[in-house]
Amino acid sequence: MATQFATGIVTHEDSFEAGKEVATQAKEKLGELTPDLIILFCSTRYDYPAIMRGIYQVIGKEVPIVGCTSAGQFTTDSITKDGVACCFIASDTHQFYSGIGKQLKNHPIQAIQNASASFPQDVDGYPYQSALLFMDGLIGKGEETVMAASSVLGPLIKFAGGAAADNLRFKETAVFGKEQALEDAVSLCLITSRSPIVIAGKHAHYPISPPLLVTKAKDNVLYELDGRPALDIWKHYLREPLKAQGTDIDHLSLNELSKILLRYEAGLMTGKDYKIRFPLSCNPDGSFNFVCSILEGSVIRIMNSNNEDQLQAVQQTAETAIHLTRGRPLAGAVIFDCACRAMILKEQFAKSIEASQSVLGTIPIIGCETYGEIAMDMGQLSGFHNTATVVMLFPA
Amino acid sequence: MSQSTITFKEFIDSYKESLGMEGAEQLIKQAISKAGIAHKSEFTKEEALKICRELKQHSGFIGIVGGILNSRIIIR
Repeated sequence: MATQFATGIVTHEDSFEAGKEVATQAKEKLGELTPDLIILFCSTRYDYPAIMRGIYQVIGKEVPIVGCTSAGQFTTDSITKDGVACCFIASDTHQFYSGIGKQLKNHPIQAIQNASASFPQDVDGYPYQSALLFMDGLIGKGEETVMAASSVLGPLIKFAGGAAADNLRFKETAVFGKEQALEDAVSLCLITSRSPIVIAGKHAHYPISPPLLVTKAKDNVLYELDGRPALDIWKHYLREPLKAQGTDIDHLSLNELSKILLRYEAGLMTGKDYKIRFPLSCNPDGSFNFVCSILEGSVIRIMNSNNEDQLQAVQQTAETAIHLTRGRPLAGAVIFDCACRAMILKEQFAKSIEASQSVLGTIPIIGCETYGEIAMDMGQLSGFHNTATVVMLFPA
Repeated sequence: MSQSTITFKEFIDSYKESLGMEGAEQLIKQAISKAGIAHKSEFTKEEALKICRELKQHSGFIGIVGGILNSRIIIR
């Protein structure tokens, strides 16, 4: 059997029926095999437990489900903004152990400890370890969660995953694990493998402002840059580019501004490259809420991206991932794509899936649009990204 | 650099991906200062653990990474 991937994607209105239909699609592709893990991505418009009940009715048993709400869902068959996508994985070359941890915002380490309490240290015959990690996307603890996971699980595990999203509504997001759907939580799935899983990630933004000093920030809220309200600075650098697109930045509501910030993100200079940080929303006092902590004394630049760079980054990420497989046959791919990519690419978003597919070949792909992407190799000390594409490849 | 010394750059590298170069430098310089150690390019294991102790007192990922660094330095 080795490892088999099978995906389904639907936009059914009724949650239970959506669960049944998406599971039926995946089950038909999987044939006689029973899934060992189900990855689930869906819009926040659904009743999540009802989707899970629908899935379980089709497969007749309670297989671990992990995943999260997302700003979009896609497989090789289709792309949806308000749908349900699932992936059934049946494998005798990977083993899966899942868990969920609550109160992530205030107790990230404890949440990770609870989520991983039943994970084995080592599994005979499965020497490689990686983990899928899903977190609430609105609590502003992106890097904390990934580093807490690394701290608890150790440096020999690589991570992929995403921060749950809600289609740019910024109201509530949830993660799925242990037959539950929870806010302010983390869902973890340890994967032990006979061959290594490959994870690669890349962003496609470039700077449009000079370096700007963070003069006031607390936790995930950025108040001031160069001694002025952050929003004033952002407006200064975006006024002309937006005017050229027919938008007057001075007449946008805070909600409209928040959506524009998805494209014009912050870039922390890390040497030759930038670590992108995504301002989730702006506040009436001119401050920004980020998806993870921003430190006073940091230097950022305002970033932009264009369609061509976005598509190129997707293709390059897939190429890097394929290169890392060293020619091993593949079962399937899970892709975590920033919600900003769909906003930037608009009707060209389908091209980004085609770009991945053109490199990955005919393997099944499932993906979602997130508020933060996780890609962390063994031993690294940072793994939370924004505006990135993360490709996770499962060997057959 | 011997196995028992830890460089300033090593501390910076541990934080630059999450804080940026400038943020990482500011953080480490503050930690060195709070630990009562003179700024230099290389630290003994004992000094490095004192710096980690300061880093661990931060909330969020700074403290978590400080804890990871602390463990890695201890087992060297």
